[in-house]
Amino acid sequence: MESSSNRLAQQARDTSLTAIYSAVADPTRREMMELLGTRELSITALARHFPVSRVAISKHLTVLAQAGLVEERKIGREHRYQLNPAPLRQAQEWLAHYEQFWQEKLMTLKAQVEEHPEDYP
Amino acid sequence: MSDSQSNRINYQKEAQVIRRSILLDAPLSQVWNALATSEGLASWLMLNDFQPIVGTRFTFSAEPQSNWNGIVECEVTQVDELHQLAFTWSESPSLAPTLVTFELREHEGKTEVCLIHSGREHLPEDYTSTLDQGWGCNMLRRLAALIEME
Repeated sequence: MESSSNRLAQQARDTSLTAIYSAVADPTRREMMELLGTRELSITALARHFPVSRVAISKHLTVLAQAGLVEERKIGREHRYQLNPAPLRQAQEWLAHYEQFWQEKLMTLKAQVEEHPEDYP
Repeated sequence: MSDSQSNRINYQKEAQVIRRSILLDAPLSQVWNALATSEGLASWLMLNDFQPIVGTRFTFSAEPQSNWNGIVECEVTQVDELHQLAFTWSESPSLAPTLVTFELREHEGKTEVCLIHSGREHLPEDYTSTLDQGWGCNMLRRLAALIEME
């Protein structure tokens, strides 16, 4: 049986693009995400991969969790973490959507202004 | 993890800014009218109640879609006549507003339009909008707190 822990989940989440990009801007956090994307790890297991303190790792995890990029669950007495890539995908989808959107709109602008100059006196 | 391959993350688009430039065969004043008037914007972007006055709020409205009600909430942040127009852009209350900027330049009778669609943190620091009175400001404070923790 698993009992999920809400310790991180209960903290304020900010899944805005700003929070997401800010979270992934740090190289240590990016490495952590790579590791947590391949398997679920405890803080202790995760910290072995980095030359920084367990406390520092814990703080990085909090930043990632607040951006919705890491999920936590409790197995017995141990907290384990794994990547939740959904917010990143959402961010990339946002970019892809608006790149396409503006491309189309600017082409419409060009056609309108060049073909109907009388509409913009 | 079964889909570990799909969890490989592409950070190439880390810079959360969309830039597009287009050269229009039209004089600067005409292009400005297409961008900085309600009728002009309606002709190529979306129906709107835009006014070229810094601080005014307006909406763009399009056909509702399955995952979007078709409304974009905006607020004018910059009107530099014939040169630059900027407004916030928020298509969902659950997402932080982003910023849309148009920069115009004249090239031998033609006009270059540069569109920049950037994240919330690109708003000028000294710009205090009505949006900043609410959660937007709190979001920035939380973000600052997160950065300080590092």
